[in-house]
Amino acid sequence: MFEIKKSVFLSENVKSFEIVAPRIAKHRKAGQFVILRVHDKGERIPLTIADSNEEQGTITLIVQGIGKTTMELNDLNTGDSILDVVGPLGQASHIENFGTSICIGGGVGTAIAYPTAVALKEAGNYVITINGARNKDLVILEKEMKEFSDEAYITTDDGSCGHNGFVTDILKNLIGENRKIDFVLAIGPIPMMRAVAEVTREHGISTFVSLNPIMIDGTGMCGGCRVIVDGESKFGCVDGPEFDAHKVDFDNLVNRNRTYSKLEKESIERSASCPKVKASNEIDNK
Amino acid sequence: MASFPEKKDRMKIPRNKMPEMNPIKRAACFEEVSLGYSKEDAITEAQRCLQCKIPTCIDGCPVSIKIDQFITLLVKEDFSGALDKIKEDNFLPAICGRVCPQEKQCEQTCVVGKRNEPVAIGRLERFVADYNRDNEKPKDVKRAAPTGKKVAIVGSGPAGLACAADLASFGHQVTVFEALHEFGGVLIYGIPEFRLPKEIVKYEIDNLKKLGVEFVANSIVGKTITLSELMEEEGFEAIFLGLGAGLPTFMKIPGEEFAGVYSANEFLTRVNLMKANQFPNFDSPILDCKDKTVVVVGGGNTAMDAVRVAKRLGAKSAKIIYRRSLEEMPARNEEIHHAQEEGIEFLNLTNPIQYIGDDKQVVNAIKCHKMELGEPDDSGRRRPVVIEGSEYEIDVDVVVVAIGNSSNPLINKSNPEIEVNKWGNLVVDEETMETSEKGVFAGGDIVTGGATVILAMGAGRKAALGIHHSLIAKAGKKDMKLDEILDVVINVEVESQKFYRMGLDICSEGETHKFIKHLYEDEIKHERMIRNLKDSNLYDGSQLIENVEHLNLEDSHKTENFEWSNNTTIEEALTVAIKRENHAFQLFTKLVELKLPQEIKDLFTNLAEEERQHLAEVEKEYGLATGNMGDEG
Ligand SMILES: Cc1cc2nc3c(=O)[nH]c(=O)nc-3n(C[C@H](O)[C@H](O)[C@H](O)COP(=O)(O)OP(=O)(O)OC[C@H]3O[C@@H](n4cnc5c(N)ncnc54)[C@H](O)[C@@H]3O)c2cc1C
Ligand SMILES: Cc1cc2nc3c(=O)[nH]c(=O)nc-3n(C[C@H](O)[C@H](O)[C@H](O)COP(=O)(O)OP(=O)(O)OC[C@H]3O[C@@H](n4cnc5c(N)ncnc54)[C@H](O)[C@@H]3O)c2cc1C
Ligand code: SF4
Ligand code: FES
Repeated sequence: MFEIKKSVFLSENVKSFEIVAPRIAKHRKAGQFVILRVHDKGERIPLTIADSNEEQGTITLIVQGIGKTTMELNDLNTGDSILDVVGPLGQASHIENFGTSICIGGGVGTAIAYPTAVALKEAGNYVITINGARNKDLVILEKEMKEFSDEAYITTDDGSCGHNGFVTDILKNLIGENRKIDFVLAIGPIPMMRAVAEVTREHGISTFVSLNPIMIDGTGMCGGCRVIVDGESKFGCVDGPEFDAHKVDFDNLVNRNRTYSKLEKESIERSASCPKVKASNEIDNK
Repeated sequence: MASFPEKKDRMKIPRNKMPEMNPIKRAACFEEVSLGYSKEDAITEAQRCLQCKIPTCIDGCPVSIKIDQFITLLVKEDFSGALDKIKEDNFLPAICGRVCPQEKQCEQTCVVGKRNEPVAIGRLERFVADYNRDNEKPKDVKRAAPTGKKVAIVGSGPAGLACAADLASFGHQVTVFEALHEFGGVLIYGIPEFRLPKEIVKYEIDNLKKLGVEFVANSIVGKTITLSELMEEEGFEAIFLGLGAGLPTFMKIPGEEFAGVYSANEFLTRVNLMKANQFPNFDSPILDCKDKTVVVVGGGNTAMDAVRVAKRLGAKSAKIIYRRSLEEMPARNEEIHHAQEEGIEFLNLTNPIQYIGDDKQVVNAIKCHKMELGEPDDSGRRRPVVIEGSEYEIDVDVVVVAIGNSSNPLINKSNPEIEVNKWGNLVVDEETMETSEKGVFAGGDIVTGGATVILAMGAGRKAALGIHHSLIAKAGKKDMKLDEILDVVINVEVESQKFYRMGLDICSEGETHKFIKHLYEDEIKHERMIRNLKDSNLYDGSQLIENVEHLNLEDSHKTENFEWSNNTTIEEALTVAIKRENHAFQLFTKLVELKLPQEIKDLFTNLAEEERQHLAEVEKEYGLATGNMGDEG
């Protein structure tokens, strides 16, 4: 059992957890993730390690509630426990002093990009962050990103905070200013990562994305996390999760990730953590 | 109490059928297919055994279970004794009785099988284990006094479990680290419930826990904790790597990345480990197979398991595509037979070349070639060759690729200093199972590539002994199994026989011939006496005899290499004979001082005396031959 030492909502639907896992805290590097299982009937899901504290033996996970498991997780509070947590998994982000690096996070992707962005800064890069969300309430880690970034931008789809539009607008502007951009990291919804890749491709800017294929074991045993990179099959959990954006077959990823959409919907609709179910339970109780 | 019938009557008993669940009923659920022999079935089946003088079945068993002996105990209805006898060599009989390919092992070499169907050794093994589990209290395993030494086992498959069991019984403190959230390796995530109930695996693990073995889940060695941390910070003095061969192989043909194409590992893990067959009561999903067509590519146990799982998930059509013919299929016969009964279709001599998908990249057909068998290849099986122009398509909803697994490179990445071969398998010393890194041992599929449960288990036990020896060697002490000591002395006798035998060939007549013959025959007699005791049921051959380090037993066979020739002088020959007899005399004298079972002590005392007489005789001959009568002369 892995105890939750601290938990706090960052936005309506995104929660941050500090979890006691000393061995993972000791070894994790930016870009790596864990796989967890909330209870003994639960699914194993991957979550990026946003931060860690070796002394206290804790790791930080930032979770967006989008389906049964993530919503159940977000129902847990300080003092509760998670049944299984294993890691650190995957390759660490490739960190070096590229020069000027842009780190783009979309939605909860910001949490996933955060540790790598910090590491890039520590390696001497001039770091520009672009933090995208649908609206003001969904912007996460605004303060944290600002704190270490050399330049920090926020975009929202409805203009309720920062630039009104997409992260690619800012990216295009920066490139348009004829600044020398050496490296781009983009993490978020697949359409966003694909759009970023298309923008940087023309300019030959080295770009990496963190892929989110469906995983089970995270050790290379099941092959469920296969992604196509440069025409070759790779295992997202051991060869990734970060890959060269210009070589990723995004169509395949989208299609494979849709495998269980019908079942996932069924699953959440039966779950006590589902907002609809919660609401109707409240009515019943009254 | 039962006994063996007359030999000629034994041959008339037909092989007892395994009671099985009805194929239609079982193909709709995950309950175990083979129900197991009743006591009566087991006894009549055991009575078919001829109790061969040379039980060839044992040669077929990778761990040399004393099959004839456990069968005798079974016939006498001493079920607990039968289990003990099996457990001397096989730590997991309930599991091996169910999953070993007996038809290629013990049952293939059983003498009865030459004319009739062989004795159903596997089913008897299973019966003995199940009967004891259901009816007897688990026995307290004899555990040596705690040594205070810590050993880490990485991986909880059959190799790791067997290694843990032996090390714990030797008195070491054992901790098993497992990457997944459950223990058992392939036994848990790969082999389905209907072939191996998980309860049995859990029972074995619980027994290990009772023995004091600690189990730590969710720990990937090399990631969560490193080998050097285990050794240097956590105080483990040795490590066993039983990592298995968990990396699924794909064919690298177009469309393999479409949605709906699974590896067998994923398909089976979703069902066995994650219980996706019970979705939505369990959260992990699996593609809906109900009334669908599921095609599994491959012909091994993994393929059979996957296709039968698909059937149980409600597939309207569950097919195997295999590139050779039914005869070459590597799966256990019983599984192929069960699959056929359950209505699995076999498209043999067929090979997929491409998966075809819809506009959403969801697989919906397989393009295949028909094959024919050509010349035999390296494996001795006839090589499948494409029939030109035979391409055709099969409609599918779900595909499962089950063409094999290779070793997972995780540990090679984290510890590149450990030597691997070109397939990525760890290289070990065959005797000790130690890898190129001192103190790090390995066994099972990670060393052999995908093999069998029994081989993995045997390797785990061998490594346990290697680890144990290295730990006591470190402490300047050495223990040996009783049977190993007996093997050493048998070997000494056999070497002496060889020596005198050569002498006989050269001096074919006269007094010298008679003298050598007398010695030769004595050595044969000695060997037989030791062997009889070794094969008897009088004591447990696996017990450890402590503190044998001063005897240098490993080197005992190395007494003097000597080639007889027509020019050999009698002095030369006698000098060697004196050395041999002296060595044997000294050896038995010292062995008598060890803590041994009484029968063996008595035998060794006898033999020490006989060898002393031999020594006196050869010394006397030497005196006569050289004119040097020594002190007595
Ligand atoms: C390497 C990696 C790192 C990730 N890091 C984070 C993170 O830091 N924070 C965060 O909020 N999310 C992260 N995710 C995404 C997160 O794993 C999914 O949101 C989660 O699995 C959804 O599960 P669910 O049961 O709540 O939703 P469901 O309704 O079951 O699924 C919703 C979608 O999530 C994806 N998904 C479902 N099951 C899995 C699975 N077993 N493995 C991977 N994806 C799955 C599918 O695309 C699916 O369509 C990461 C994913 C990967 C692969
Ligand atoms: C579907 C299927 C059916 C089979 N059917 C049969 C059969 O009928 N008869 C038969 O004899 N054989 C069968 N086999 C083969 C048999 O199961 C294997 O040969 C045997 O399990 C190998 O045992 P092992 O202990 O070497 O490894 P495994 O059983 O593979 O166990 C290895 C364990 O190590 C863990 N691990 C790996 N790396 C690490 C790490 N770094 N840190 C911590 N833990 C780690 C894994 O998670 C796993 O639990 C089958 C195999 C499969 C896949
Ligand atoms: S070979 Fe067959 S008949 Fe002979 S001892 Fe073994 S099981 Fe019995
Ligand atoms: S998650 Fe199973 S191999 Fe990657």
